[in-house]
Amino acid sequence: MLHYFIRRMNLLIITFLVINLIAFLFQPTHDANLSPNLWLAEYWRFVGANLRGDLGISVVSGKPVAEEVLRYLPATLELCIVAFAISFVVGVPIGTLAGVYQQRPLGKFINAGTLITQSIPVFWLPLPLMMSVVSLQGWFPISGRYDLLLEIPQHTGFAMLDVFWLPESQRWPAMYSVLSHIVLPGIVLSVIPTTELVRHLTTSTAKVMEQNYVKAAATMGKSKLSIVLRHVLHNALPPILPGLGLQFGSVLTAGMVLEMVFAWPGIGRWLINSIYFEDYVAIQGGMLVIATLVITTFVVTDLFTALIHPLRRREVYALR
Amino acid sequence: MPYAKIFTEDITPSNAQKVLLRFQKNTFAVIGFWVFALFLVITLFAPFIAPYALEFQGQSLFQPPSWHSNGSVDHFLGTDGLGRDILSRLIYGVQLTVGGATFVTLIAVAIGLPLGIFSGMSRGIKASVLHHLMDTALSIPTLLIAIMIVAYLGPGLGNTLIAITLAQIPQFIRFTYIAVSSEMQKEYVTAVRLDGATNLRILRYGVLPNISDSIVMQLTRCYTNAILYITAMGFIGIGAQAPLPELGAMIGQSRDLLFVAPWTISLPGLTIMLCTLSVNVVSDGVRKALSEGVD
Repeated sequence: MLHYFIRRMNLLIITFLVINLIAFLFQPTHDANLSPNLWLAEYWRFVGANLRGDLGISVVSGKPVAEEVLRYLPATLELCIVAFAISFVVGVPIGTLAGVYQQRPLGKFINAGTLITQSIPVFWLPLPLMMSVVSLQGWFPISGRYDLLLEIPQHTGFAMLDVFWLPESQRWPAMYSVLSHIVLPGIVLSVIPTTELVRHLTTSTAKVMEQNYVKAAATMGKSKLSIVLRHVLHNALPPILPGLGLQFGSVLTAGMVLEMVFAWPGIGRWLINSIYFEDYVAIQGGMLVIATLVITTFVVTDLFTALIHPLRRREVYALR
Repeated sequence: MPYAKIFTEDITPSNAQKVLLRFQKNTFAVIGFWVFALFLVITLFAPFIAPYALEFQGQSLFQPPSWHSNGSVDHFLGTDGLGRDILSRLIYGVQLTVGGATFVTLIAVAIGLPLGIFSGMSRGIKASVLHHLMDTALSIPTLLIAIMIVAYLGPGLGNTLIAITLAQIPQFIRFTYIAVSSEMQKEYVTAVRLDGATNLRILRYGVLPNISDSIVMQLTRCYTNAILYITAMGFIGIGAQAPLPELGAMIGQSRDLLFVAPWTISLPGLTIMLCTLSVNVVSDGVRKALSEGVD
């Protein structure tokens, strides 16, 4: 486990340095004619400043970039977390069913369904959705994080947690507003991780179903349901977790694009506005934070998987 | 000498022919193939197929598609807010989007595949360094890298294509690398190596036939992602710019018209979806046909 831990930490550090190097090279003030020693010193100073959270001052707003990122990032993260939660609730049963009945009509039907959801451009999906019954009848609001009349204090940045700072009488109406605003973007964004989860889980479950211990459990007279819950899921779910950790990056980026549709005040809109204003300090800072977040999530999921699923560790040792 | 037919089959199909036969049995895959072929034809001959020129602006604004009671057959899929024919714009849009995605994929494959195979077949310190670089490349999402590159190059369709190509190459190297290196660890490769086979021979007869299905998967993933990323970047406004009829940009520009002229949004979206779906269906069919004999 220690070996594995060191290996993954190594990956984290190297990736962080590479990301920094790219950001450093693309700096508008970057001087290519520096001598190697001076260049290295400059680079280390840059990395050190980033580690301390000093990402520079935005040219447009005049505020520190780190402060701005911290203000907008939680909104996006909240959206991503909701999307992942939905995808787990929906994707695990569907994926298991598709894996157990892979060669039957049900499995083929689910497989066809994933082919379709995989092909939908995620930024387009909400538009027909908005047009359909959902918004015409006013079931769910289609823009913003909560009612404009509400004033929710910014403590953590996650609106769902921030409502607890409100006085008792306003708390639950505010919570209701926050939840109803997140339903549509959450569902739309969850299409991506759900598809990925179902696809991975289908192959993984089908592989486990062929194992001898599943057949042995069947000969012991256990029902199919108890075999699936007790034996199959336990062995099919952990190996696909690192893949989902990787998905976090795609979901985050898709969330950033979706923010444009749902007028969600998150990091994506902030970043794209920075691109329009050519605010390179902000772009660079935002990218650094997002990339670091993505790689950290991946490493943490991977380590977590290794903790709960020893087979994962063996795979890495066996590699060379 | 009398001719007696002892075998039920007159010809023994080669491996490629078997794959083709299995593919043809899959009805959905064949339909997907023809739809995709149609898209390619549109991409190649868009100016000859489109009923109106790219710059054409008619008198009727917001005319609904022809099946609607207010529609007319002059503009089969209706017109947008500037009186431009939607069908023509879709056809030109397919040319930009699908053509762009094809271009991106071809370059990514031409660079990524050889590098992936080379790194997959190398061993020792070289492989270890490459392995770490690959992990780095994999950990940052492609669209994010593409947005990063566009942020520095500036918005525009050309820059978007460059950015997506640059972002796809590491992914392609990474997946080829995984496929090749896991194949290289199998025992038959060791056996062939003991027989004195050169690396090239192992690659040609041992590795490539066995990784073909994962390469097909990666190829289509690259292709569909390229389509989705080009359109996504057009949609958020950092890809193709205003007059260009790129499909994503078309959706982005008419987003405010959602309730006035819904067809200006739904039709480009459906076109993108149909295109990616056909690629996915074909790839699914090819993969099944390739792996059927192996499993």
